[in-house]
Amino acid sequence: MSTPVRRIQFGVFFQGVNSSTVWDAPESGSQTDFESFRRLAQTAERGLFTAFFLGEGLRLREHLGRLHDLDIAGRPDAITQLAALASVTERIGLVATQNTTYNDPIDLAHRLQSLDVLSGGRAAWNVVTTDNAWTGENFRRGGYLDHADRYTHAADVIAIARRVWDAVPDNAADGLLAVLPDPFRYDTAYYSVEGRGVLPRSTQGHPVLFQAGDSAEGRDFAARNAEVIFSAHAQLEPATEFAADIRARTLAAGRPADDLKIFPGQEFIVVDDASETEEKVRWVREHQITPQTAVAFVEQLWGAELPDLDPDGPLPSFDPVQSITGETRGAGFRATKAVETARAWRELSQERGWSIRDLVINVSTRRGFAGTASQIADELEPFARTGVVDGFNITPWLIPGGLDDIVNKLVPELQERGIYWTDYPGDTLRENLGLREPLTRRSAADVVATVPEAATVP
Amino acid sequence: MSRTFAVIVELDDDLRTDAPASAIVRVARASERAGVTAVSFEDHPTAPGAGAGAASRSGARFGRLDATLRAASVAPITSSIGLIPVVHALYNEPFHLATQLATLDTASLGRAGWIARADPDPSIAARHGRGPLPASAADAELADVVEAIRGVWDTWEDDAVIRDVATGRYLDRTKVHYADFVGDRFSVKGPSIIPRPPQGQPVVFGEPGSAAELDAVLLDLTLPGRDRPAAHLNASTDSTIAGAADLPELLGRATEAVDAARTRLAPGTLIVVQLGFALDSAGLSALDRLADERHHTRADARAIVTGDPSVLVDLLTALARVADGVRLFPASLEPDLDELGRAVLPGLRARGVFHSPLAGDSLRTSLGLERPTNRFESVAPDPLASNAQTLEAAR
Repeated sequence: MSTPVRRIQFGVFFQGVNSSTVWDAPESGSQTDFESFRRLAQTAERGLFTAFFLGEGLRLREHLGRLHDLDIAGRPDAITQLAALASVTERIGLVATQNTTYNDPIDLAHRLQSLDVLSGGRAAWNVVTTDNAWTGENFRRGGYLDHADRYTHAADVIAIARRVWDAVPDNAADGLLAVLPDPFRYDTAYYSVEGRGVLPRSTQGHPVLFQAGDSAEGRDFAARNAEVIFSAHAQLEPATEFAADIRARTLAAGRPADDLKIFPGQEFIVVDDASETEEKVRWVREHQITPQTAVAFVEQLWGAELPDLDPDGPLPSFDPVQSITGETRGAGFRATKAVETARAWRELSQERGWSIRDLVINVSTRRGFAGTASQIADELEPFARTGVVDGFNITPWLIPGGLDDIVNKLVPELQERGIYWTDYPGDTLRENLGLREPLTRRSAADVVATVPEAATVP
Repeated sequence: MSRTFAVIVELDDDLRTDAPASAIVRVARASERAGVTAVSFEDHPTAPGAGAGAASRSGARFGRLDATLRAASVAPITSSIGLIPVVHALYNEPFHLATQLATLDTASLGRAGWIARADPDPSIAARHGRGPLPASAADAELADVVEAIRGVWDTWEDDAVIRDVATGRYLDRTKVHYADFVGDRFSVKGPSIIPRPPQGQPVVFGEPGSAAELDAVLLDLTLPGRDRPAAHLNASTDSTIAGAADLPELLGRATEAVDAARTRLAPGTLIVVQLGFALDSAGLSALDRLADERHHTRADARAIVTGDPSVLVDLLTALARVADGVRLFPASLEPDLDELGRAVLPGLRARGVFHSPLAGDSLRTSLGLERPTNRFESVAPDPLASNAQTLEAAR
């Protein structure tokens, strides 16, 4: 019996802040003009991408107490921007990263549901948690949440959102409710809120829930709550381990093993001729990690300005002045043990003969898929064959043209091999991801009856 | 001085359709074709009629999709009309509101406004998990929220993105500032996470008498103390019907109200009069249409001008001499919007009191408002002055 052919799906992550976006190339456009978002989303839709994904920023990044000035910065509010993109796209999913800590749950649920109805069932919520007082300085409640409680708190917020989305009965049709649903109260350690269902359900029932988070706690949270997980494991071997772990956790959470779709983030560098690959990759990396970025990266770990540091020379011989790194440059360095990491970097650099810039390129950028469309397709085939990922969330290194080669060259190659669809299978994001009904809208019988054979743990 | 008279049309959404998004797109496009200055989007975060007794009433309507999102959804498919959502601002996060509205302004290339609403309704507070604000404190809170949002918008100077390849700097951090707003109930550090919006400051509408810093106020035009022709209205509304014979009285009231407001407002604040309307259309009289229960009218005290389109042309022509604009509430969206574009706006243009916005105009431009300077803008040193000082020092 032959294994059924699986397909690879693609999502695209429009990076809001990151050194991975090359802003100094001549073909680099605005990071914030709506036109850049429109072009990228429409190109993705032409390439039959499953989802268009926006991150969220709640405080502008800082470097050693001053605004970080080397990376792209400035991004729109995700849900508002996706509402605008909803009217210039038709089938692609619209994923908004939204923090559970600095949004009021019922208000957030209402806005996500509004986007879901407006877009004809294409909305998703990428659930993230933040808990530091530094971010809290922009919000009414300040930094009120302990790091240890971030997931129990997030579970509360999701539970409230689902109450809002489930509040209106299915038989409400034609814009008229037979009766207005009764208000509900939700009282926990974190919230005492009063809500009421006021909107009709979207065609996909609920917005799809995405989650990223690689700790054991984060993985369990995803296994209990999410429908798609963004992972950092994009190479075959770690991806296989990750999939086995996630599927075991998903089963343990009482869900079918394939209930949680896996989309690692990945960078693609497509060239026309195999002989260009090495040069193109080097060009991209050197534009991502400029000499200034390399120095700032080291300063961030050391916790001090190092004005005389030569990016082409070795790491400082003295240890960092801090033991634990802070939050101000985003998740990359969160609570990293600075002295330990510095020693490991120094050893690694000596062993490989790396300059600071070489080191930063190697520790801060992904390997990515690089080569001709045919070579990349060769690399992707085992993923399709084994099903260890459901798709890749592509982080383009160029805005807005960063998907052009992928859509024009790689997608047709994958289609020819039968591992990429030739049309969207459905109208909603939930259909296109092959997801079941939202978790709170299934009966136990539904779940058992619909476990596909292919979902067994590898 | 030639004054721009603005015609804003309220596009209340109607979810009695399988495809609310296409309905919103349709009416927004119809408004742009008609040539109105701007469209507004009413909002209330809880269900309409959610008060006592509503639960037992059959046929209750759904609530509205978030107004800022509805406005954003029509931004890329329109090019000249202003987009003005109602935003309830007492309990939300001011930082989020600032970036949401900046995003609307960016996506619409500078056509965003907002109606800053301070409704101390306990049900709105409850959904945010907060105790209700006493009505006496609501306006002070709104003033704080507006000030914080204006501060956040200005945190990036217009030329903060420099993309300086030589130094590797994307931003000039001396041109990005902390808002550092501290109010009675909240504080916002800043800076914004999105650059300064195209208009610098999207246009802020509010109630006359508010302590908030407003660009424009909305003033209801009413005909109080009049017997309601009950046969023509459903029981839930207090609106009064006005016809051609009522124009002198309406105009007199408008003039009085505008003059009174003008004395209390900061100079340059626009005054927009709010008015319902229902026009005879396709052989059906507006009064007959209003009598039909299926066409809902709104539960407010605003006058509804009815009759032939020329009645509205006459009233608006006269209003243009006293007020800066009008926000019109169509009794029924489609027929009334049609008549507006077919007869009313051409009539106003013919009399020279109204100009439709041009593609690419910002809402500020359409309303005749200046683009505000940035409160954080560093005072650029005058190169000649510094030369003079250098020369002075050298002597």
